[in-house]
Amino acid sequence: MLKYDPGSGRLFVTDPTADGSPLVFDTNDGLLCVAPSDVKIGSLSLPSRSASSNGVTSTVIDVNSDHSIESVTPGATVVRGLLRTSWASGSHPLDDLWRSASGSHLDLLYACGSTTSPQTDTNYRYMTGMAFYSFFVDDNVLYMNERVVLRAQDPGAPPAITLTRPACTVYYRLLVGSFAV
Amino acid sequence: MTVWRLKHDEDTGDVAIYSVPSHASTDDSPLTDPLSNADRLQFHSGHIYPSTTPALTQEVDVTIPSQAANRQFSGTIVLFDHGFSDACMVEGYIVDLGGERVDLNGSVPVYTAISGFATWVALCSTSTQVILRYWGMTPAFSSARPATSFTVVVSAFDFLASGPAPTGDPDLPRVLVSPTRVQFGRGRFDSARRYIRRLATGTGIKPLATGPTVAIVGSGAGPVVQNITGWRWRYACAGFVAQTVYGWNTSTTSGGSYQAPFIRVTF
Repeated sequence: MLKYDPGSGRLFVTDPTADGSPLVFDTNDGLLCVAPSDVKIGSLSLPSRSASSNGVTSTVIDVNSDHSIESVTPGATVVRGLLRTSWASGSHPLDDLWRSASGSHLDLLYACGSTTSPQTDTNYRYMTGMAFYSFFVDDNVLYMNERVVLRAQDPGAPPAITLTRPACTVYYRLLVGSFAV
Repeated sequence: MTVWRLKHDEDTGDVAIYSVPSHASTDDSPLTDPLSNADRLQFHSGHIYPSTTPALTQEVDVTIPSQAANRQFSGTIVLFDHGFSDACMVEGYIVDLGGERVDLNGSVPVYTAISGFATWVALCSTSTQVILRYWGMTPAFSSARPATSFTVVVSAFDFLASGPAPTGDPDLPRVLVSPTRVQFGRGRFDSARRYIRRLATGTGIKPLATGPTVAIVGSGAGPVVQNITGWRWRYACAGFVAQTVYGWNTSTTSGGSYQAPFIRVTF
């Protein structure tokens, strides 16, 4: 039902077919509004990441990269929609599942055990590998942040152990919008 | 008092709701040039307004089963069938987790051990169902992780994994106003549907993150892993915080001070 409050000038719409006739639209508020040019559909290919340790020295991965995707309409800062990720080899628990695109998306979990020379501890004691992807808008540009940290198990002595997060493709279907308030 | 105008453009077929300086004003620029007049615009039929319905918004109690120590695990909890032709955009929140309302933005840690081992959940969609996927690791030095139960409210939206963004139906009128239903822009707005709405009061049924929700601090470089503090992570959005509080060397630490940007919305 469309209603007008002459005292405030407010225009609003309720749904009388639903319990309690909830408010659906109100000129005091704002709907998430997306310009057609701010529908962003595509994919990003990310390289594999490898960390290694031979028990004497270790090479770690510590990546914090903002990948520029496209410009968006000024004022459009709210990213919603869908994303899915796919590893080039192997799989992870969310492989190829479409998920809510906002926030930070966990793509890798890895933990290792203690250095117990000359053996390798197989107990999970230290959270030594995580990867996240996050979409955001800064200065009218849509970005995807890639955050990866990775350290391989210290084997206690050579040879080295190498741990690899495979190359990954992030597919996205995004709505980048704004609110009127 | 703001004066609002609902008007359609006979030439283009566009419909808009926008503010005007006065009832007598002839300034209809938000209708004809919406991108340059966004600050005066409440609705324009040329834009996209993702929507759900009351039937596609469901409250579901979920339980993530207990997990033995020293293992990786994952699982799926089916929430409901969405009925679309493909996977769809999903939005939702946890009604109460640690006393906070928690948005299901990205991956959310719903159970965290002090050393950073956690159970993460992500709201997902298959081609037929809305699901909650959980995964995580349990450390070797603790006993089994207990089951975790909470209630989620989740909506399936009309933006799918294939096809165009939601548009109007050319068979619908530009404006329909009846005692039971209101439609603008050939159904781009429909009172029978529900839209993500930001209230002028700043309140709302759930937070909505507008940027990353997780930060990682520290360094993983250095001598053998157990001798350094290591990386620590922190999830923080709208009052809900989960983070590493013990370093690899068992020192007391934290995941830093990051807070995700967010607004509150309703739908």
